[in-house]
Amino acid sequence: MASPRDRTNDTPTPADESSSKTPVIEIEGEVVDSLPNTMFLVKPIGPNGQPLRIQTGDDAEEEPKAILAHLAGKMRLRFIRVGVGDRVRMQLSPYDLSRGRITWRLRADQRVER
Amino acid sequence: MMSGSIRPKTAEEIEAMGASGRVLAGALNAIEAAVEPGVTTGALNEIAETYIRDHGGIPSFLGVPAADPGIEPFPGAICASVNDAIVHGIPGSAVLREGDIIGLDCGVILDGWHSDSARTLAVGEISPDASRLLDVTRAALAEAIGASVAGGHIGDIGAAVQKLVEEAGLTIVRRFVGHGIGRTMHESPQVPNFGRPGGGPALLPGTTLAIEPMVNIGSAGVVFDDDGWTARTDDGALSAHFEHTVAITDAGPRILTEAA
Repeated sequence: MASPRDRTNDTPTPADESSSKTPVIEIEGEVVDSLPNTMFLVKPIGPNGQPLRIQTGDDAEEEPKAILAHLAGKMRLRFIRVGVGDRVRMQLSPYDLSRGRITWRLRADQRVER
Repeated sequence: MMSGSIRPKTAEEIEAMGASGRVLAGALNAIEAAVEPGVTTGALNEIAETYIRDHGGIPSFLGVPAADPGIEPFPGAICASVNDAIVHGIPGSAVLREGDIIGLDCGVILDGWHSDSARTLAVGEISPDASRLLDVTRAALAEAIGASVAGGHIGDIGAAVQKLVEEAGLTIVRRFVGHGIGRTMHESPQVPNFGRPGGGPALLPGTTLAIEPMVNIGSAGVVFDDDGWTARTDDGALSAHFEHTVAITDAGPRILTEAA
């Protein structure tokens, strides 16, 4: 007997989250440092697992730069623990690419989405 | 509705589910032999229920609670879904006619272990389109079972179904999904008939799944009858459904709902 599809456990896709509000750039990354006040340094990672270089200034840097990201309010309310080494999904504002907002912590089996 | 983690089964538990599946396959064979123009779906239901009880099993569909409130629990041992009915047709006074296709879905509990299987049959001579629908859906189930290997992912199964069905120019029902199965009929994970290779939970040895492609000739849309159960295509075009309970083992996929 077929089961009705239940979407409550599905991973929200970027389309679900960024409705019609301010445009955001959504990327994945790996947490490289945990800072006070639920801030994290996150190294951007591309869809195929390659390091992503986000150019934040005029100077093209050698090392892919880590982004300073805070934990989204919803994740703080739900006490989602994020630690060094976790894969996360984050949103960047197109106006300031050096700051991010962590919106999702990926489980080990959810890595490399899309 | 379905939650919790995926619990792989031991070799002994898989054997017990296979015993349940053999009773189920026998019941489906018995009703398949009785399908002909003039037979009512209620008569097929009685054949299945009698066969299952005679073999020590319990028909698991009887009394399944509806997903939505205010709808009576499922009243039959089988789902009999004729022509544009996709799944969950209630057996009763409907009479089979030459040229119909009928989806027969049934479940057994034996010694506490569930099995779940379905097949769609032709009543007499059917149209070439209907015949092709049955062939494609049957082949999609075979592809899906072939993709059910340890080390793979749930998404591999859906992707296999999706590729075959869409290349054949038919549509996949997304409103319903296959499911894990074991001590209860519906367990984690969900097994959609569409997906991305490598997506979804990993397939571990011992995982037992009810894999069930539902394929339509026309639209993928679903409408429900007033009984709250019978799901039909919203354009009235034909729909087919094949299902097996499958165990993922180190030696490859094993179909548990086959006759001895």
